[in-house]
Amino acid sequence: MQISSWIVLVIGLILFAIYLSNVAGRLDRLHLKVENARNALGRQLALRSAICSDIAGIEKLDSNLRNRLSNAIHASISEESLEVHTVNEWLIESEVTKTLCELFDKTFDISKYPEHKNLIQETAGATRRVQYALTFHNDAAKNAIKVRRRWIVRTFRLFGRASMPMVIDFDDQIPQGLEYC
Amino acid sequence: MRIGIVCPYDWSVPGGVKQHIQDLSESLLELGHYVNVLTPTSDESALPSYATNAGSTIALPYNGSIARIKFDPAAFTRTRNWLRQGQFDILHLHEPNSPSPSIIAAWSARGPIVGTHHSSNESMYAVRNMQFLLQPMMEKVIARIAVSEEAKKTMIDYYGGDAIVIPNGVRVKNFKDAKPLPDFDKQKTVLFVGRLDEPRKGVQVLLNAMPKVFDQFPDLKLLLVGPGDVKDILKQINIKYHSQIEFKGFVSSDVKSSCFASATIYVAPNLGGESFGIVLLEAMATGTPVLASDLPAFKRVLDDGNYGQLFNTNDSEQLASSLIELLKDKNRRELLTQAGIDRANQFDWTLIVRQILDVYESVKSVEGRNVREDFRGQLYGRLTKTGRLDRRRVKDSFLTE
Repeated sequence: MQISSWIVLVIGLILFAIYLSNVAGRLDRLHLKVENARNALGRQLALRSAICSDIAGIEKLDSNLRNRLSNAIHASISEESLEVHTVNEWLIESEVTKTLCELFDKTFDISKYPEHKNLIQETAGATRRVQYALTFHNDAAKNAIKVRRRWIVRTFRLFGRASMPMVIDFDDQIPQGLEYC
Repeated sequence: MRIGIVCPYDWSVPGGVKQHIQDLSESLLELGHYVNVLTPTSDESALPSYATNAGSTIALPYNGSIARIKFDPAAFTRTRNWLRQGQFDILHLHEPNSPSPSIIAAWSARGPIVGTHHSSNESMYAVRNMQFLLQPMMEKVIARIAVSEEAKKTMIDYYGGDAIVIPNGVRVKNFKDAKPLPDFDKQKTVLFVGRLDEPRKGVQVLLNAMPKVFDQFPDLKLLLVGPGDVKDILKQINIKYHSQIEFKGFVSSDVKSSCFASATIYVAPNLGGESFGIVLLEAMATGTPVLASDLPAFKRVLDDGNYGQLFNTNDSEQLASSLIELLKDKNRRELLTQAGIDRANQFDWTLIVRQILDVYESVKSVEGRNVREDFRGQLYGRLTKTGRLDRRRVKDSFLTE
């Protein structure tokens, strides 16, 4: 082979290597993003449980629903259990959400609870933050999964040792009564 | 919290995005946060104390309007310096895909980055073709906010993924006590606000409708507020109505709220390209009933007509009849006024800013690592020193699972 074709080949290989390294760098960023988002989600869920236990103490609210809420948050994520949450356990969070939705349904009027105004506003914030954190996590996870499925990533194992991100699914709606709090 | 906000458009030119950023910054400052806005501007003396100049701008046609943007080597240096000096906990980019300091910041920063998408435009072919280049940069934005369902749809069309919707806000306290202008009768004034030389603002539709309305109400005044050629407008309407039309040209936001306060009805005949319709909320906050075309964005703000009257877009006939009906029916107007005030309160910035702070909270790094300049894993980082400073950490981050 002539020397010029060798040069072309070497340059081509170098460019290809740069490209691969760039994709690997991008994928690394995506994995980190998913991991951070997951931690943020866990943190927000733990905060929500903490606030819900205060809500369960408001005596003016329906006592059946308050009991249901206490039971739900007992099983749900908290500061201590952040690490051990598995796929099925995310569904427990749906129960917390549903109970909150029933407690603060369309007819809920914040002006009837002047002494708990701050707490209720905090609850509204907590439910919003859970929804935001879940959306951002799933957005990041789907993006990472999409890039990982590309053949070039699979062939050259550009994802290193990072495990496949997972989409997390649970009910994250904001109670209607808290929408404008 | 230390918050760095990037505005893509010229600060000295009024516009929806700039207004949003100004209201957001002021609301955050009132809550005691540190805010710095990086924005291009052609008039540095007019910048507020919380803003940093990113240089002057060039004008480009965009989305049917003229957008003044900034994208040159000086902008790169300034943006990167601003990032280094700011030490922000949160970096909030507006229109992160526009050729402006926003995209430069997305390219050079790493950390908790929030992006807000404002535009709802379906014909940005240039962006669609450049998408593969922009994608890696857009991925650095951790939290994406859209100001409306339309903006969200546009964003998903171009970049995929997901976003949350936090609507635009209105600073109700700036509008609710606005003083009416002295020389207008609150019972007999129809108001239009918007550029007169921009077809999508729909002044044409209103002008076609007005002769019928003027015939019914001979002492009615039409007040046109916004920059544009007065002669061009007058040419389009019969000379006998000229005495009933008043022009205000370009006005400051104080005068604008006074204009709202002096109007019987505010008409928004826009033809399209609106992603939110903040003017509607401003009018409602001053207590002026709104009559608007039924664009999806307007329909949502007015909740399908519960908080204001709608008419078919670009239908002068229907606009004329709705206008006449409303001018005759004082009770209906009072009803709409009250409903409008309630609606505006739901979009008050004191509420909206809480939602935006919730976004900041849910992406803020717990370890206290703030936004920093970082080119690791990017071609630029490999070619310059910036990416090689910390080789060990690059290796570590690959091992994180």
